Amino acid sequence: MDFSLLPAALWLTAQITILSALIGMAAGVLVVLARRSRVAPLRWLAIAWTDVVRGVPPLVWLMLVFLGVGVFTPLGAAVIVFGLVASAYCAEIYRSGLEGVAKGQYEALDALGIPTRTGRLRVVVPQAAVISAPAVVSYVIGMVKDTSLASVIGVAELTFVANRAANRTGDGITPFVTVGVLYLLLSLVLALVGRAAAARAESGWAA
Amino acid sequence: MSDFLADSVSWLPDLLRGLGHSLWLTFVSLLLGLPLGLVLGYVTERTTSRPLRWLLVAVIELARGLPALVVLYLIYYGLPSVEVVLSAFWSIIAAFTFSNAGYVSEIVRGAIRGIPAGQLEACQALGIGRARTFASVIAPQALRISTPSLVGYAAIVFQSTSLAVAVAEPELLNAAYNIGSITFQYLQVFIVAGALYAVVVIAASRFAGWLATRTQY
Amino acid sequence: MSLLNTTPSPDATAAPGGPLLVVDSLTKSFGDHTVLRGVDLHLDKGEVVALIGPSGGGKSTLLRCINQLELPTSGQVTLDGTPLVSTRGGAVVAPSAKALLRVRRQIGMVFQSFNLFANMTAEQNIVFAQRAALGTGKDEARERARTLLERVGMGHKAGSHPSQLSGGQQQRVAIARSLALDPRVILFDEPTSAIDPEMRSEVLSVMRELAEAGMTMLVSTHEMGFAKQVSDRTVFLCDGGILEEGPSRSLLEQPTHDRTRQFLRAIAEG
Ligand SMILES: Nc1ncnc2c1ncn2[C@@H]1O[C@H](COP(=O)(O)OP(=O)(O)OP(=O)(O)O)[C@@H](O)[C@H]1O
Ligand SMILES: [Mg+2]
Repeated sequence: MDFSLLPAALWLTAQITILSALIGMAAGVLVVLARRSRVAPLRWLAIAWTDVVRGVPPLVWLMLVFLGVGVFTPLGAAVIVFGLVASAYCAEIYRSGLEGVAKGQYEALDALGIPTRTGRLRVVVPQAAVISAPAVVSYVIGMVKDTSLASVIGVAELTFVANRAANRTGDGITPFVTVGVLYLLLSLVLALVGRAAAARAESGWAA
Repeated sequence: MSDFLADSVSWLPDLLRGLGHSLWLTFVSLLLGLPLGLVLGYVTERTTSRPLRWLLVAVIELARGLPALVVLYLIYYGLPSVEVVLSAFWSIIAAFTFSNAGYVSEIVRGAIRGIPAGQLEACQALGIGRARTFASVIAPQALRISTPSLVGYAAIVFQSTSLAVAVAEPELLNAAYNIGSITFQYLQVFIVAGALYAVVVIAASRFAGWLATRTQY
Repeated sequence: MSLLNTTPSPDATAAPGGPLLVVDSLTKSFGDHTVLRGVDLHLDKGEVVALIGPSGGGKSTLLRCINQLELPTSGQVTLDGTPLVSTRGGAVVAPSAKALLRVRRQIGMVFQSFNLFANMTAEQNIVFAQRAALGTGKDEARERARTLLERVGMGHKAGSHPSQLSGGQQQRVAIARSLALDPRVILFDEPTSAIDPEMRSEVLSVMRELAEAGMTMLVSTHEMGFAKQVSDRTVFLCDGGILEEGPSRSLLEQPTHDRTRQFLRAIAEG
């Protein structure tokens, strides 16, 4: 196979992962805010969003957005789909992070007469963020694998390049073993970065 | 709108046949993957041989770390180079069983670790043998602890059967894709197919959530 | 050494307008489970009152109703003549958020489980409370935090996070945090119950100094030694009502009710 194609493909895989992870982590905040809103319809909307987004396989979303909507480039469709899927998963992670903050912390905020918004911002959210961080990191690591689905709609990322090489050369082993190793390496790098970040965030107070 | 409905209804027989095949793929790969994962998880967690443990951990990490699509391609396009030719169906089953076994073993390992060490010490103190300890103390509790996660996992396996479209296996997504390529109504047909997937997955997750509240002692 | 900023006037107990804190026919039900059935209680300025009684008797609920962490079902709580419980047409209603904040800043609370903010150091806990609740400037808040930490003997741990402190140390920081808002009265809910026995005295001695400095305190406790030596008055709360109250020494040594005697004997044996 033509190994010179791999760097570009690897970069594309990394790009899809990083961009959609960023979209997902940010949009997840909006979803969890809606989920915990006092306005009931907003809550229902958030529940419907997380259920439907996670209930439909990512590959179906990819085809729906790329072929069905039909206005996006393959790369654009992939980033949108993985970003939206990640938003639903991140929202669930954030939600359990918020639920993981001890009840006593809320009581202390109340007893001290600290305004709700200040307390949420300075006490609840930082603690929930640290509780959620490991789950977000492992979700993002899992996303690396998911991006391989983008090959089906023609994004020239790792799996796509390997598939084309296999078809051209008739050697179905070298290309897939090679990209398999690259996927593992990419996950490993993310895991190490994530662990370092988590260690920094937790230093000091994590229980 | 009425067109949409009429079209959807006319597609339903094909889509439902595809759905049936997706469920069948799910069933077969769970049937093979679950026991394999159970044993893999138990042996990995309990073996006293370090090399064996490392080997198994490596296999589990490989199964969890490789994209299922890459594994599928490797089996479907790669194995023929070494004279092993599997049909699309069995390639899918082999690929999913491999990935499933990795996930299931992780769930099972977590469950086994969740059983308090004191109970195992009690078994030792009572002179109960290893096999008996596994059968009567570990397995029932581990299964009980992990059942909700396993049901949740079955839903994920069902979703991932959509990958079979990549090797043209006639499951739900493939059926939808074929309808789309004839009618060019991709959006509608993928919405209907997506809804079918979502109904099954949401029902399964709700069931898993209900089980989780039921299985606490 | 005084724990308080201001030395209370010697005749504080005779302050005009009667007692500082008055609890009047307070009831509280959770659904159809009645926990408090008409509690009357008053604290004069500078008075230290111990609240004792069997587990489940409603001590925590009473304290939490006083600073409105729980909404009382009926009755009134008055701080320095100002009613704290909002009512409309005779029924208790949830007060406005603003009114709640005002009430709680004037009433300190020390919890059994400390509840220090886990993401902040000891000093940051105290600085944050002042800045967020009172809008104190940064430098002033920090200065005061340092002083208070010194006074509770925690100056050397200002930069430690709660997870790095023992229970007794956390509780002393929590007391300092509560003091930082200059409350009129502090409610203590079993402040030493979650602390190893050998560490309790460090917390109790801080509380004793606080009492001597003239702080008004209502302390739910199982520490009969503290009740006897430090508190002016002891109240026995049982099955949601005050069964007996009086000067601590006489109540603890010569209780009049059988139920009180039984409780004290169980504690002594416990
Ligand atoms: N939020 C709540 N919902 C329902 N019941 C409650 C609630 N809080 C307290 N109770 C009930 O109120 C009763 C009194 O509880 P409370 O915590 O006030 O007792 P206590 O005197 O502080 O006991 P302890 O010494 O164990 O702390 C108990 O029967 C308890 O079950
Ligand atoms: Mg209590």
